Amino acid sequence: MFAERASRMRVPMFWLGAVLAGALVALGAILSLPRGARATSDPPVAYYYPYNGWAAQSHAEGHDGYGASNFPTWYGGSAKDGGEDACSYSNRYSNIQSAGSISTSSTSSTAELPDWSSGLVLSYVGCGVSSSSRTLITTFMSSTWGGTPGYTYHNAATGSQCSSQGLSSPCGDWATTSQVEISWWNSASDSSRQKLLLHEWGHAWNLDDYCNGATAMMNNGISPCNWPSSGQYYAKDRDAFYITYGY
Amino acid sequence: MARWKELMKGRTLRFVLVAASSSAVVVLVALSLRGAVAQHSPGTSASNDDEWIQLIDQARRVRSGELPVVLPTPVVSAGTTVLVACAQIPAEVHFSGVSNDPGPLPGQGRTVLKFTDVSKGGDGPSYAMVVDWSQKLGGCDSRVQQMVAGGKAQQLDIDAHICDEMRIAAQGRDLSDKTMRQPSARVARAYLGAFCQ
Repeated sequence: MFAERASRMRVPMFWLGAVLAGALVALGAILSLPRGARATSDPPVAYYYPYNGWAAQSHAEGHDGYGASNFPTWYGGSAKDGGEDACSYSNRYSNIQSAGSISTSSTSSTAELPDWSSGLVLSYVGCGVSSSSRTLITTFMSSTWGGTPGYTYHNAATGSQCSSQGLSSPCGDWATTSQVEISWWNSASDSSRQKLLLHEWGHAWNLDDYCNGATAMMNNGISPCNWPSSGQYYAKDRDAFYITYGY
Repeated sequence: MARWKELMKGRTLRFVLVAASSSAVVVLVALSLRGAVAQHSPGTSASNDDEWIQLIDQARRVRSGELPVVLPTPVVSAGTTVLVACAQIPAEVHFSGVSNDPGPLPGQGRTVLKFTDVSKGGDGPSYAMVVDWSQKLGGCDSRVQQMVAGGKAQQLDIDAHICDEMRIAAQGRDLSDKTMRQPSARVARAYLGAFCQ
């Protein structure tokens, strides 16, 4: 009786064994494929916002936001939430332009971002955009929502908002807002203003605050993690850009 | 013995063939899944009006509940403690990451907050909190209340702004907001019908 049952079972067991062996081989091969992201001994600065935030938007607009040469975007404009625009004062305009140039020069052709020969490129569209526009907006507030000199938040796009652009969902942020406290700005040097903008735009690009010893523009600005003396993106920041997008 | 060898040869061959074909099936399924993910993240762009209207219709069906909504799980860095109640937020915090993540219906959604306890300096512990927009925030840090209220209000503003622009496009005119993609009048009418009544 037992032998008879075992004999009946042998054929299905044979096929089952073959199928399982094949599946295991395939799974092993898939799992052993290189993943792309680099291992770091340091906690990463990168922080993945839902839907990959701003970079996904840039990519969806046709810019190759994932690891190639450009992250073109817009900045400037006014805000409906009590903010002032970036264009009504020349010191705002000139510092935004300078920070945009530093953003590009300190990320182009570096060892950490070998594929990004043009670096992070931001294009200025001037005034006339609002926080409802589909853009990164830098707006000036009497006090920021975070209670700090600068504060950045993301607004992920809904399915209907994506579809208004002819995009499937998810399609990244609809808008990303960097708020700057006016009183801090007015009493700060040009260098400090540019550092603040670079730090906030780093958040717009999904980089998190950092505080672990390395020199970084994404240091959180609070001792012992003060901002570096020179405003630019450093190796640690570029590593974070690579971890977030370089795959 | 020869017969046994013959049999084994045949069985081995069959075993290898079945194993190889199941390998192929697994690989094909994995690749097709990867393809599906790549297609939807980030957004795939419509190349003509028909595709665009199809995407609008798909979003309308999600909003009506006909198609399921899958909100991605927020990813929090290692070493970050996830808080569940406002009372757990430390007294002195520095906000390092805020994202408003709206749901398909107006007023639905969540705000993902990340912050550092800076009571003893900038190298304090990191926290994250996911605030559902239906959650009552009385007694919460006033900044959190402002962020969440601001995020909700902005979603309504954005939706109203898109409808305003679509009304312009439906008349065959150029959008006034140049950050948006210009739709045809036909696409604009489809969008208005789906989301702007």
